[in-house]
Amino acid sequence: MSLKQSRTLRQSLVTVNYGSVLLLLSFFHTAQFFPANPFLLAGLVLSLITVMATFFLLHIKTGLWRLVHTHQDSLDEREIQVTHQALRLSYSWFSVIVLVLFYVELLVIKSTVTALDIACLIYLAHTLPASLIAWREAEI
Amino acid sequence: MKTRKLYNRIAVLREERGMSRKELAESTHVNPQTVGFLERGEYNPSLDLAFRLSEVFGLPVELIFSTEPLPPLSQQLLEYQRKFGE
Repeated sequence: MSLKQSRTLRQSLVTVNYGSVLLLLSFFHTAQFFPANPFLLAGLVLSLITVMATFFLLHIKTGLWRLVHTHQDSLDEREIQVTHQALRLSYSWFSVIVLVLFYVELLVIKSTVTALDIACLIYLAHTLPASLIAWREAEI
Repeated sequence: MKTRKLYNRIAVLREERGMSRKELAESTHVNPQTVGFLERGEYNPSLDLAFRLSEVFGLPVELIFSTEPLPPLSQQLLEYQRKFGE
């Protein structure tokens, strides 16, 4: 079954993709206490490669990136409805995730927000609508 | 507001006319995937799309869509004929 038809496969890719982003952040923040640790560096590199590979499979190969970034005039009514739903949900999810992340980083861990944290949030903002479509839709 | 399930005859009518999903999609200005979703009843079309389908098949909208399971088309056409004449 292809990626476009298998919701289970797409859900797995979404999980691995965002899981790898979390791992990337974990390795990065841990590496600040253990600089030049080869295992942490290897973990960082592997996580980054996994993020890129799963991003390509999930967003580029399925055409989802094009779907959520295409102007509304080029979409049919069902695609407009699906993307609007995904954008509406993404807004809610993204707001909560950002608040939780800032709460944990600034108040609990008392760490500073780094450039990688911001980059990951920008990545999340850009990919969340397509990831939600990949997760929810039976066929794309 | 939760939308109701709509039943339709799109797949049957398309097959009768020897059209592929791609051809029907092009005639109604939607993507082939949307035709699939319509046929399976997983997407309710807008009024505009319903009328476009009606124009393509040359049948009234109420013969293509229904809020209840559809009887065979031949049966419904006979009822129409009795009701409205030739």
